Amino acid sequence: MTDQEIVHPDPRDELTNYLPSLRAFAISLTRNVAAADDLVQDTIVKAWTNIDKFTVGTNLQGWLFTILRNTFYSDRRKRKREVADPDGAHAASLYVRPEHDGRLAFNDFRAAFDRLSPEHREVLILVGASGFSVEEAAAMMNVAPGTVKSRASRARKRLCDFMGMKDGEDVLGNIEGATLAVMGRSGTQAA
Amino acid sequence: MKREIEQNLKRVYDDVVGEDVPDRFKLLLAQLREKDSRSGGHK
Repeated sequence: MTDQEIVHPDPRDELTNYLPSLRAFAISLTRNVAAADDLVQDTIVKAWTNIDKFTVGTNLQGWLFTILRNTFYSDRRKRKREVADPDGAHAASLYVRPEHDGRLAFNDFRAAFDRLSPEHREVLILVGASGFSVEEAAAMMNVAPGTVKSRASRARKRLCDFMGMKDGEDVLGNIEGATLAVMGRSGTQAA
Repeated sequence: MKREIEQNLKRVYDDVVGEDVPDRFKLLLAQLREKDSRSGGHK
């Protein structure tokens, strides 16, 4: 019953288990598979080389998600400084899954979700879908729990607003254009 | 409405969680492991 009897596995051996959820979170932020996989790759390398900073026994998934979102926002700041996003680049990078299940309402939902800011997508995915508590999400996002709650409620409202525009000008039109744009690209990203 | 949103969000997320992880990540982890063992293990 001493501490020594509790054998903690090397957290690096557990990284594989978190790849699916890291990818899901990365795609939620980037809405682009190639960019998301690059982001996951950067996260894994950072986690691996900084594994001594992880406190064994604490939430490894939370730690990895924090690295991923910090990397995403810092890359985004860097990119913004380098080049202004040219027109259409954002639409072209939207993540569109090939899906033929005909579930229109869900496609509408996803189109609306794509139009949210990354900050709004992030908060909704963290507290809504990936099962983190408000407190855990707050720690990851480095904001107060109250901010998480108010941001989530604003995000939900935006989502409803966008879905209310179902017959609006170009929600689906954009998505189709984006699909073509994505298909027309190699899908690779510059390093 | 809120519950519907939660369900849809869960689906957006779970759809990707259910996908196969690309091989590049297995490769990456193997490379990291190899690099570590070459340089004498845990840094």
